[in-house]
Amino acid sequence: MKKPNELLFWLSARREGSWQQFRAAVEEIHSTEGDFESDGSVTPEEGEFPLHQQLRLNLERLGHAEFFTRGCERGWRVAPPTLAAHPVSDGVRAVLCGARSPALRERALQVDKNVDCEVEVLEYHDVPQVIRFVAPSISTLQQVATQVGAHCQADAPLAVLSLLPPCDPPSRGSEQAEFPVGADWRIREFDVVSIRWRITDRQHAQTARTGLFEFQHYDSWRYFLRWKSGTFEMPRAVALYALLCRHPGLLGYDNGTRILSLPGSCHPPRLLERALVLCSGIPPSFDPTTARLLYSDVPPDIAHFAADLLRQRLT
Amino acid sequence: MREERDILNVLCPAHEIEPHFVGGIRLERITWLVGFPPRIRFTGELGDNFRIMIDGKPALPAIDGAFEAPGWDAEGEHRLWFADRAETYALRTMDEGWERWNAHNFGTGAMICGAGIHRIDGTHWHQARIPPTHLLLIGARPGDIFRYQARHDVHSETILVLVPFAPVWALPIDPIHADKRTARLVLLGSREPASAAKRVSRDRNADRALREWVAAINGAGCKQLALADASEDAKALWRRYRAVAKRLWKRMR
Repeated sequence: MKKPNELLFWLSARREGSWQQFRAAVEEIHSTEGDFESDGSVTPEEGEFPLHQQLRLNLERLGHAEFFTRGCERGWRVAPPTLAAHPVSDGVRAVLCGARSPALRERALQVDKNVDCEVEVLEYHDVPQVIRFVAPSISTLQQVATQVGAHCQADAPLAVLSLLPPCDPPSRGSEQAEFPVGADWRIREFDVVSIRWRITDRQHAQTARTGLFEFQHYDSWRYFLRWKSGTFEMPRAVALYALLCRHPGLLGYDNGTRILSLPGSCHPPRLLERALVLCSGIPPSFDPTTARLLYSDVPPDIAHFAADLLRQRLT
Repeated sequence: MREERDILNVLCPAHEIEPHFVGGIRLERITWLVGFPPRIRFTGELGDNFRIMIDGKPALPAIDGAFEAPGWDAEGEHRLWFADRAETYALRTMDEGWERWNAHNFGTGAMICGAGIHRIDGTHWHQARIPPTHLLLIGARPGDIFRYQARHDVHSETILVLVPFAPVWALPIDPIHADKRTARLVLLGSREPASAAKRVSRDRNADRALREWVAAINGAGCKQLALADASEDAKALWRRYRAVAKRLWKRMR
């Protein structure tokens, strides 16, 4: 499990870089001899998510780094170290996110014994060590953050959600788009009944009044929402939830276990998912029997806020 | 060059002996992170007289076959010498001091970067959790008043707001016309009201803010809105805010 930690050190030392550099670093770090926890292979089995994509997803989910956004349009940039805090039953809990040097990690693990704060380290596959702090109050965590050399973000999940727009369909003024030209594109439509993608053709995409279409060509994926006979290019997750507005049974929430679940084919928008993951610091697990993603330890107010942004009801 | 583990490497003549820096955390072409140095190995046939030096000290094979010498993994530049050839490698520590930047902007005046949020203009605003029915925020200094523009596209039991001052009270947006059966005075932080005398300004905006601060507190007081936190401390603090507002009201008339 040490490889993702080394990758985070590498990202933190380099600060920013291209997507090619990230992929090369993943390959170099994971192909090193003596890694008894993996077979050194970075080639995915059929149907598996490639390792570099899985690592990228987890680094994004935990707010360690940003990919392909403002300030790192062609690659990635590491975020500053931050204690992402949120209230829990016995006080306030925080997850250490962002850049991490070996020295910073040591400071985090050896928080001054005079501070009333419990430190816990969790290990998950393809994720840098999850370092969490539990303290009686946010002011204690602010002290901890100062000692560690990190920012302290109070109510982090709520703070992130509060800035996000909902997944609404395009408005009348939205700019329309055209499907990409060429016969080489593989076209799929999202089936709202089976909640799965299925192969379709260009003619159907062009005539559909409503629907979400994926155009894929080599490493390029583009998503188009057909809405009231117009065509709009949108981020996949936003278009998907706009299409599935108030879909029965899509989002599940168990008040007892505080687990929020959704179909594996319906990944939420990246930042919304980050808010859900910051509730626990633990990436979602996939339940193969139900084919659903499970987000653990999500408080009811965060679950309801997320559902509202996704235009879904919790069931 | 053949792969390090290539079985034919043993047949390489001496001039084909090649060093390999394997593993570690490589930051640049010949630079690694301190604490994560590479293992130094060789391919080719290493004869009995084959000598390796690192920084002028004889290097010996470790248990895994990689070569080490005293201080070989310390911070700084190192010189590896073998068979009349030399290679350089370096180890450096990581500089801290990562900056946040405006990574995700959804037009709210605040940005998301990693797990944190911050104002787009870099100013430090205070964060508060408030009920969506109590959007008028009052600070300790007379004139510290902020009306939060609620978003209407989502509904939440609690909303998080960024305020340009440390908020002490959250009130209904129009205290004098609030429904006293449901509206409350929500205490957000126990800060004493600043002395009214400290606030002297001829700025029109500041004067208006001062009047609004006074009107909001007096309005909530006249309406006899109940405190959400009915502790004696909270009641006493609210009485002190009312006293400051009343004094200012008399002075402004």
